[in-house]
Amino acid sequence: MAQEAEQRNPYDGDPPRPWIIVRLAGKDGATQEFKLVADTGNPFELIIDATSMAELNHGDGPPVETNFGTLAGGWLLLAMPELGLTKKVLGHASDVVVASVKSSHPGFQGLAGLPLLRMLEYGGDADAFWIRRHR
Amino acid sequence: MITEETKLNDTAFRRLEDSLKTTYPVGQFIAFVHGEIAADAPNFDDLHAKLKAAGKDPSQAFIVRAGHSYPKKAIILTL
Repeated sequence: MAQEAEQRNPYDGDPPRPWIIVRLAGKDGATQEFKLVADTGNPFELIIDATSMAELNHGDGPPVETNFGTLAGGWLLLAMPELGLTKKVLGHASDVVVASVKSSHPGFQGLAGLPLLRMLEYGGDADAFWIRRHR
Repeated sequence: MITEETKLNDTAFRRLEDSLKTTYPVGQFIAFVHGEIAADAPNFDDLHAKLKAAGKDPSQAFIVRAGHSYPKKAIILTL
């Protein structure tokens, strides 16, 4: 995905879901992109799978009990300078959550929650959901 | 993912959570290793440097920020 200052993504999945691409950098500097459902009802920055968390985390963090079971905590490095996001955030890992989003679309790889969306400007219309750099 | 080390550090953090708010500046990064505070710093990179200098693996440290909220339970409204 090109490093644009705005992402505008047509809804995907059944039922249709808003989604964004989030790029994370591991300890070796290598980056990975994740297609995440944008979910304002999610109180956590990011939820990805346990294997990716193990590969990418820069440190451990507090676990949390949720209606989807226990989420493991881990510090993840956002690597999206085009959106002004180059900082470490406390992410969480849950294969249960990821399996649930994949039931809507197999390409979904987790959730991006309200705390992350609030670092940006975001919105949507009938056709697409968008994020752009916070002004 | 949630190892015995994570549980040990989380227990230590929860025990000290309130006191951290008054002992450290708000937002200070604090690292727990083997159930004890191993280092603190105003930013993540300095914390990592301190841990390395102390001979500890930063990627294995349990890290929180003083005064920040870390709920033990939460509801995800979706899916």
